[in-house]
Amino acid sequence: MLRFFLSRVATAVPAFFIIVALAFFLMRLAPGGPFDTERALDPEIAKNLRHIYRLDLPLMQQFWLYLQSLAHGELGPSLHWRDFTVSELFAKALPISAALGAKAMLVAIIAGTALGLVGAMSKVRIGPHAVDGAAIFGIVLPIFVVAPLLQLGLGLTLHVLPVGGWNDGAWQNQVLPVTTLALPQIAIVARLMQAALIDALAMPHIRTLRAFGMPGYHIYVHALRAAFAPVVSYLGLAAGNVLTGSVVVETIFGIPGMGRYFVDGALGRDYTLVMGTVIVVAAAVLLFNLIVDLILAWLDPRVRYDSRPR
Amino acid sequence: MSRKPGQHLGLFRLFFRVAAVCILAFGPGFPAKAGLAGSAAAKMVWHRGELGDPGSLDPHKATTLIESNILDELFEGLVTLDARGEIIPGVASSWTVDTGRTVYDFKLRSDAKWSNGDKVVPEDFVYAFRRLMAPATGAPYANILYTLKNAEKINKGELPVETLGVRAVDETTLEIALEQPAPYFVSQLAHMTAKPLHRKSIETFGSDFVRPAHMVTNGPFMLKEFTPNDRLVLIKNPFYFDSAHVALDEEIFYSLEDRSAAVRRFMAGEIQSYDDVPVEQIAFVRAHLAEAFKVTPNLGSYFYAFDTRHKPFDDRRVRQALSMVIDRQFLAERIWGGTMDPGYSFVPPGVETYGAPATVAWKDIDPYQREDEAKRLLAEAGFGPGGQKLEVEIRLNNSENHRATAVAIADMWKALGVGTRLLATDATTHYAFLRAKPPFDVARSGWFADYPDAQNFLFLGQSDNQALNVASFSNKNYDRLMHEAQVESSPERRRAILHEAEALLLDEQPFLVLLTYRSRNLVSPKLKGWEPNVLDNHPGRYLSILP
Repeated sequence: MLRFFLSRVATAVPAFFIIVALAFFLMRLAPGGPFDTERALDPEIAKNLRHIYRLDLPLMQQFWLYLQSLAHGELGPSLHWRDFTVSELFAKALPISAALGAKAMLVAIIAGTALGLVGAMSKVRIGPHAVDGAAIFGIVLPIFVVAPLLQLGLGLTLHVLPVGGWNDGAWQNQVLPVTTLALPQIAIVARLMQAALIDALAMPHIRTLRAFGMPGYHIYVHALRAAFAPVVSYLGLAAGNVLTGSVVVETIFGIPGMGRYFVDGALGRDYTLVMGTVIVVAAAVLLFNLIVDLILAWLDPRVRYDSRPR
Repeated sequence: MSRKPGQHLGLFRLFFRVAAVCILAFGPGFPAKAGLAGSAAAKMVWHRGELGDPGSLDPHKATTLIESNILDELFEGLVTLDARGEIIPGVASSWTVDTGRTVYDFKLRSDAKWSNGDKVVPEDFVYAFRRLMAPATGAPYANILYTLKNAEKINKGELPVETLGVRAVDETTLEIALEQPAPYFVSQLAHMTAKPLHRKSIETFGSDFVRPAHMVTNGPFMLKEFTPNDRLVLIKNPFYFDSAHVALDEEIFYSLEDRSAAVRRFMAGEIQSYDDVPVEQIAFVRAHLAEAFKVTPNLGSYFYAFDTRHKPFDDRRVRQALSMVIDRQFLAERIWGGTMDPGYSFVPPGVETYGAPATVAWKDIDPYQREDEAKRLLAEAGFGPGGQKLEVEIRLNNSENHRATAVAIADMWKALGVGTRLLATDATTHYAFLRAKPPFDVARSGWFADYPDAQNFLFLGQSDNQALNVASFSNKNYDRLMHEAQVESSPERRRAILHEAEALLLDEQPFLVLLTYRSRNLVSPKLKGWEPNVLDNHPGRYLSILP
């Protein structure tokens, strides 16, 4: 298992470096810079500002400086939020996005698995189709439609929850964003779970278990173990995205998370902020892929053995 | 099967345990916060929605309207704005100007204090103006105050900051010398670049002086808390000289970039004001929030710039023809839902010292006659039937309304036989393009007043205004008139000269003015003292909230 772990880490490190380099140079290909705003600056002043932020240096030198500060764990000053460093911004925003995302993922796993189970176990023929239908509904409804509907229904009409705002993370303010984030994930997990479970229940070893007269729940435990593999693979990918914030959900509900920095950073050419978000997302995706690999290896020994050198 | 069946129960149990933890986490186990209604009873709080966040609270690094709104609450300059957006004395109680109109003496209030109790002294202004001009500060808008003596040279590193024309005469008098007479100078002093700064806290904390724990300000409010993309909390400054008349205890700015969500939050009573309304929801807002919806003229122009350096847009006739056929009423009413006014002048109406602006000559001519005249002008310039086909590319920054406006204009130009292409880019690309100034045909642009004076619009057409003269318009007569207005001592004569300059600009049409902006605010009827004004400036000092 250790060898397996190390081999995965060994591929993740160069991947991370390539992502950082690509992001740095691609960002500079976009026309304009951080000081090109609606009200044009005096050319001399703009030149002075580029000098202050060292944007007048040759690109390779800027990249080298950036790598040096990155090696010290510094993400640099934000060019838009000029009173903060990127690390300071993330220190506030990342825990908020991660907490919301984690709650949404938990809800998705529990509700999705439960729905998938219900569909797969259903004795009536319509059962799986009903779950499938509901799930497709959940997948196709975009969150920018769901979020305002929830705001209108539960916030404005019934007055049971606040329409928006973070309010230092009061639970009332979290319910709608978590629900919005979780809904499409519930749908996907339910579909994956149901399909995998139906497949698993048809496998020869399950038939053998049935033939031995094992009690129902034992059979499902075995089937679930096999059925979890595709769900876990999917969740790894989804977690990297959900935990690092959703721009749509955060903008609609007014949540001070990471999501907004992606868009605002890119549109405003806030180079350091863009690099910071890329690094955070890349690290999250690589980390969750690694975790998924480890869980899959634990769930299915074949994965472990396959990675051994032959 | 080597394991005992019982072991497999672990997975199931784990699953249900996680589920239980999750349900507990979501249950009402967290301490519930008091809602808005609960806290409002004890304190008077203005929950103020704004379209965006401040990029910086350092008055020398700030550039946007939202930053200006916040800085006006935190700092008070020599002069300030009242609820109607008019200039009133601030830290200066009175001032005099010498006969050459280049040296001002400001008498400071004796009871002006910083939020830590320190007295506001003339040195605080000297320090702030020098910091603004010091190249190391990198103040983006330092050039607004190039009116100060030696300011431009200092900002460009050609002179030391000590040579700036600002000095403390004694404990209560500040002397400001100007490079040349500037009739609008006093109104410039209400701009965010002209605030005093607390030297000791900046020298102690460096760029961190803007943190809530460190920030010392002299305005009606002081900073309590700031979380980007969430909220900025200001509390009443007990040391402010007029604090007895400041009713609000707190003012909370919320950054709300999703305008539709902001309207919903307004309707739910979570915010008491919001400074924008999505244009596509105007009809809904007019129907359901009529009492709260305030649409008022604003000092802002929405225009297209012609690239006057190149053919065929170096030809006045082509520019006039293209301008003449545009149905501005249609754009204002149908595209912008009545949240804009048709624009026939370059200076928007509402500048008090300027009176009614000059307008285009054909403003009141009927549209059919205008179209005929436009065709005639184009034919003279060699376009239209028998001549060349005029092809125009409109460059614009991406936004649904800008695009709809451009599409409508393309349709109006079709009547002249003009072919139009649209080229939309993101805002940064668009403005970077305008800064670099490669050749183009027509580009969308706009301008909002920094200070309420006609010069602040008309200077966009001066040939020496490299950065802002998007049309690269160059006209010796125009430059001469603008210079004459600058040195003219009589306000009446100055006004007449500026009117003459505007008439010339409209006749030349380097800028095709389409619309003038109107501000669109949602204001709760509970918010008392909120006055509509052309600067769309609403200081909390004059506001109170009904229970």
